[in-house]
Amino acid sequence: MIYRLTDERIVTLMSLLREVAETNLAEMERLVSRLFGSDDPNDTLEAVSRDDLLAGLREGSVALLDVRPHEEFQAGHLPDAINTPLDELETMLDALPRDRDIVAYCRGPYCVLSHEAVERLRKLGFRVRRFDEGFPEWKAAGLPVQ
Amino acid sequence: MTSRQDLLDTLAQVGKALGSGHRLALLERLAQSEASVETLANTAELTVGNASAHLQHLRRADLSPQPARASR
Repeated sequence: MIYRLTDERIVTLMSLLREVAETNLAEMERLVSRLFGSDDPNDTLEAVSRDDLLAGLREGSVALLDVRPHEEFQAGHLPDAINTPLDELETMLDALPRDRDIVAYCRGPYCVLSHEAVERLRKLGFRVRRFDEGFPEWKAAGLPVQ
Repeated sequence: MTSRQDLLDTLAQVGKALGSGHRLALLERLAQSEASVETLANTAELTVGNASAHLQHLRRADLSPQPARASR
């Protein structure tokens, strides 16, 4: 038995829900920073916004890393993204560029897979940051997907 | 007033679908690709039984119907 979303506007509704919650509930900020805090207090892992990511992709200065499982990647992903699920990350290091900034993304703004990938790759010397949204928000914004 | 109240109660079913952190986790996963209840339960860290119960709520709001068979 297979389930699927019948109305993709639910993604937009969830984004609005998140914005309202983050604006009005002080607790949200504390919980978000706990979820995305760094092991290293000096390391500010600021996430990349959609506009900055678009600019980086246009310039060709950014490589995209999709850390979701293969089946989710295959159903749709950002253009030219490299798929390396988190549990295969250490075996796929040769596929990742060292001469460009890497932006890692996963399922959405509160998805921790990309955060975990950033933490691990930074320790290995990669220049990498997390996208502050995910695949569904990118697609819902009408941006190109593959 | 009753029919207006019925309207608002029906509208609120969409809110109810979003009214649980577990259902938001299921919706986040469903927004990536279609999936089996086992995959959904696993991703949302729920038992299959709990995931099924939450999917019923989504179905009530018509957000995640269950096709007779896998598409594609």
